[in-house]
Amino acid sequence: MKHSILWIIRIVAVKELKEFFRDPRSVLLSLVLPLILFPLLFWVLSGDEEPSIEEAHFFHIGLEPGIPEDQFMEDSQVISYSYLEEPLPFNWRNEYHVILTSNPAGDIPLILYDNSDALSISAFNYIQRQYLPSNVREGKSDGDPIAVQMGPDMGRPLFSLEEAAGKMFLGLILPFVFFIFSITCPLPGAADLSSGEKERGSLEPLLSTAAPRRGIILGKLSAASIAGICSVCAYIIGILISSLVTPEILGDERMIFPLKGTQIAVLSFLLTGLTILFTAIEICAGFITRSVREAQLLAMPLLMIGMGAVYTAQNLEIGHKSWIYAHIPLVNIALSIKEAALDRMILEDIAATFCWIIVYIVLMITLGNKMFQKELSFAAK
Amino acid sequence: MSNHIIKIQNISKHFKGSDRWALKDLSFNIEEGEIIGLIGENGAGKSTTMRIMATIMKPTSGRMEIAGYDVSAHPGDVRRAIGILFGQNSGLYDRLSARENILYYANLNGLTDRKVDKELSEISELLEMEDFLDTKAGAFSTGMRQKTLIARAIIHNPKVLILDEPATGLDVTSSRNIYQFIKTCKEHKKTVLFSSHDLGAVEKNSDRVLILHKGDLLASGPPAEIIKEGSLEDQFVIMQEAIQ
Repeated sequence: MKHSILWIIRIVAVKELKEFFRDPRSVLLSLVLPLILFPLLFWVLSGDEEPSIEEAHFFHIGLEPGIPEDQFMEDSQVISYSYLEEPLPFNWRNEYHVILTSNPAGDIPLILYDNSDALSISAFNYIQRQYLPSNVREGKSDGDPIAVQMGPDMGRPLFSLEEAAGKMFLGLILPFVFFIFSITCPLPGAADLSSGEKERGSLEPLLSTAAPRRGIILGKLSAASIAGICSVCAYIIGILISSLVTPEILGDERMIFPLKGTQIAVLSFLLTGLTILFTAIEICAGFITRSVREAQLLAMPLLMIGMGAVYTAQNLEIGHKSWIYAHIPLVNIALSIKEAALDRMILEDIAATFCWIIVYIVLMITLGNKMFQKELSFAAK
Repeated sequence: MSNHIIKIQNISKHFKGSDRWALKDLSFNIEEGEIIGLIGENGAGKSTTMRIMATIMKPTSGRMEIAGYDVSAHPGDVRRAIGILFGQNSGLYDRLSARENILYYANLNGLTDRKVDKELSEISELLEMEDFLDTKAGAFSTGMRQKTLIARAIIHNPKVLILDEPATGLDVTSSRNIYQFIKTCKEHKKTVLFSSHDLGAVEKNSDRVLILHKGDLLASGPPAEIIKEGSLEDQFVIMQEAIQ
């Protein structure tokens, strides 16, 4: 009797999840530990760290119609400017570092800037200093952008200090956290379902059943992904508990994280996609390794690759990067996470990333299927 | 008219990186309902033959048919027709009970839990495993594991049963149970191919014996025809010495 592939996927996934949740070690490592690890870690490591603001090399400035271009703009080696076609374009933060608007109270224009973005703060700081008379400039901030930002000046920050700090924090930390979680959380399950089968000798009997191998692979992927996502959720809940119990660990306890519904939805999809992707990679790699222990060693190279991608994305300017970065594996995902965390999503980037995640997962499943077709019994010897 | 359920024609197998052939031009047929004992020294090609039958390996050359299906062209149909046991270490899932292990394989072979209920109670009675059917496999003795593995291999009522060393490591009673079960298969017109190093058991329980040596078929026939003097074990030793 033949059954549909969905039937096989369900059968394999249910059995694997049953096994996973019956293993106290797996449950402890994947679900319980994350809940207590971060509260503990945050409690131990409480301390303040000020964010550093990098100097920008080049600023893009938007000028409202009517704002005269100042002499320093034309001479400047660090500024490019253009006049806006509409008063305040949607998502202007991806195009300009700051916008100069007319000031009803005086001659000097107002500077609209994104105080959750280090480059925008630097641009504001630079332009303000150019505009202000030299005596004010010298006495005022002495190069400290935070002081400039706080003073009675030309600046019109986009967010409150608490909100800006929260956004900065999320933009910096979320790509790293997402990659670390999505690599490490599904690994125990994925290793057990692939190289674990080989280690306990159950792979050959499994492959000798009438179940289509694609169904077995997809069932295993579903189970390991569900277990991985549960574990990721446990980690996130752990972090939330930590931030409630010891808010000072975040550096500034007044920080707020005003995430919008669309941001949360995009971030959730990205995290889910990333977790499924790494689960698929880990299952495929698990078929090459000879033991669960060997499969678990994969975490290190995967983390290094993942961190490389995040580091690259962190050094990119969201609005002024080459289009190619939206198509570089993993870098595009890290970049989309950063965009979503900062609420500076570029539709083309996010859409490309989602499409690529699907392509990567399909490729991994195809590769896993190929591994199944190989003569595994010989490879296992 | 012959009723060959397994047809093997000039099967050869060479593994990458190896300097010798695991199987060399191997040919034999097995009729429906026959019990075949496959013997040979370590590395003779018994397991390789069984793995090709199970569609886990592909032959380098030659043709093999099981229940009318070519193993290379129609592996899915072949898998539906066979039940296989890969020795006693062929992994049970320790965190599942014997019943869950067996039902999982039944499901993978396309049977629903309800449909398989009757077969499961018959098999557990036949293999005397009612007492531990709902115990988790992690706590099983070797005999209990082996019985569960056999039940798992036959739950979908396959026409052909391939058993790689089914009684290795078992005590006398468990071993006797397994061979008793193999004989019962004949009554149900099932074909059984089993390998073993216990030549006494092979002699006693097989309709026909196939002796492999370095990938070649050395001899084939009913035990009584093969044995010229003493037992099958004596005869096997004589043959080995003659070759060397």
